[in-house]
Amino acid sequence: MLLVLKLAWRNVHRNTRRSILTVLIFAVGLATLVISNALYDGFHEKMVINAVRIFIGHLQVHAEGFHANPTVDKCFVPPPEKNLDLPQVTALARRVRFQSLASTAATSQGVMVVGIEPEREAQVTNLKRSLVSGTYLGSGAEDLQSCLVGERLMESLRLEPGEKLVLFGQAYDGSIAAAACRVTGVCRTGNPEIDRSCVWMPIASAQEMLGYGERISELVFLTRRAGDVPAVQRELKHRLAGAGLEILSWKEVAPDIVQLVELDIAMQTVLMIIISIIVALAIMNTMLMAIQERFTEFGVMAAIGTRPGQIIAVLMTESFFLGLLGLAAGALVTMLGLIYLFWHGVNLSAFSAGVMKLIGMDTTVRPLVQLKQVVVSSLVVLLSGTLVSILPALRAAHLEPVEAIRHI
Amino acid sequence: MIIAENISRVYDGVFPVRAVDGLSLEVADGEFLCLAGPSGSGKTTLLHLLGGLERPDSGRIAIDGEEITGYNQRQRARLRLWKIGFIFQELNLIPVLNARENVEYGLLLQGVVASERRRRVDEILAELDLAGLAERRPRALSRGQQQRVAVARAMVSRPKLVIADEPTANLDSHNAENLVELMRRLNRDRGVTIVMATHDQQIMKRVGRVVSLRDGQITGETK
Repeated sequence: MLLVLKLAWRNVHRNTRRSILTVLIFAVGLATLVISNALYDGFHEKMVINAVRIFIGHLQVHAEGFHANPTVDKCFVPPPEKNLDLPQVTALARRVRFQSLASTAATSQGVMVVGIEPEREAQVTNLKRSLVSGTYLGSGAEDLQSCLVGERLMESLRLEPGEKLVLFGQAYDGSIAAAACRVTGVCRTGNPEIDRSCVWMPIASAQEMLGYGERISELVFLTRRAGDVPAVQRELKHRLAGAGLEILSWKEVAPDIVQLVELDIAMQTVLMIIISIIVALAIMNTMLMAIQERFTEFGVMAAIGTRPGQIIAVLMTESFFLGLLGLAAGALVTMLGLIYLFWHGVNLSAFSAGVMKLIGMDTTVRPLVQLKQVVVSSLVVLLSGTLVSILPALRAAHLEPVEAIRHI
Repeated sequence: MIIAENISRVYDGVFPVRAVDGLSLEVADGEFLCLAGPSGSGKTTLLHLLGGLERPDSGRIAIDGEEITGYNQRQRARLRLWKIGFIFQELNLIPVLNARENVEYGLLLQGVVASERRRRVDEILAELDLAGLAERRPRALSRGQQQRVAVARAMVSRPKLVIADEPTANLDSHNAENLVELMRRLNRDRGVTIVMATHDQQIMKRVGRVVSLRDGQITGETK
């Protein structure tokens, strides 16, 4: 064993230029995999966080069927808050949500009205932080006639801050509901669709407009971590069983994001396979050259009694050592690359105008490094580069000694 | 020691070459035999057959009572490890190992313990006046020194038979004479059987028995 290690290690230093080239192949392969995966993961995280913090939260509770068909009649009286108290939940807000016709002096447009508890909504979503002009909603009586409007909706309704907006809809009892509110603030959430269609008002105003009384359309939860969602969902389903409610995770509320992430992960896997093949072929080429030059040496080794398995072990170990050196070099290159990308980010809007819809106004993506990805990428690069050497190693080991010795 | 009966070896090709053609040869224990002949006479092929590097297409070979004709690659490798030492014309040594490690290589393959390995290597290096060169790698040794290291490696594992294929071909006359003298001394002192191929007349004169080859057949013998 020691002989194999000694021979393999010394052969690594034998042709410094070729060894450096091989190490670089491993290094670049690793850096490409880790950095591309980190950027993908950063992009996914941004998509999910923005979706959660812009509007949907980590979990939503509705009357059964509301998510599929959000009609006014699907509402519910919220359960006591002590029933909703869970250690993983950091914030909770009630909402009334309905479709409405918004009218101004100039024009009319279909909108989504969201009745919110302003302070609690600010804990669950970034609504308060998304205010670009005017003032946020308060909880006092003087705020009952106030509303916030999405920035693009302001433009399409040709509204100015402070102007009145009239909302028409269907009340709970089926009659026509109407309310007037004054625009006190403009929001830019970062999601163009929300900015184009949303009006926020105090929940009490929305309940009064629809004749809901204590009823609401949804409860929105924010958990400490995304990983807490399944456990919280299970517990809520248990606690609220039989109440005619549906408890949905963000993945169920926004399956398109999940599908996009899954598609990206599939693309990541394909990219990983392609990079591994390129690394493997490049390594195999350099190993073939290295072995070709040493056929006579292998012949002499076989002549003096070295078994084919021992020759294979030397060559595979040599490849493995080069791989380890490549990983070390790759780690350095990767770190430098990640530091740069983390500092500067990658602005995706240069590539696609539609990307804002997915990740919000801030279209700069920064890498998200996950230890599991780094370990998997390292193993993939190391193993593909090492295992591919078995082909030239088998060839060298099974040459007849005479054939190898004559190969001068 | 060696019994070769009616062995032949044919290399296939557009024009098949009968490198060894129905040859029979016996080599006694402890003998120093020289194979002589011009290029293409079959010396190297015969050495390869006797050393288990190739298998004859017909005939039989026995070494030290062991029938090796039908051995597979693994069995032949084992035979070479334990019973046969080799000295080639050139490129004998493993470049990344120094002289000591090259000599020690076969002992490592045999699984000899470290203390015994050290003792035997030191002994043979001293005997062949290589002690001062032990830490040098082959590229830092002259051709003559490299061949002496090759002799040391062939001898250190205590083989029954040493096969040497024109070991002096790339040496000047002084080094060539010294090398052959060294091999004669080892043959005499250790009783190891040596079969050497050469076309050097001067060297043939210093050896006990010379078998002449031509076109793969024995044409004569002198003692």
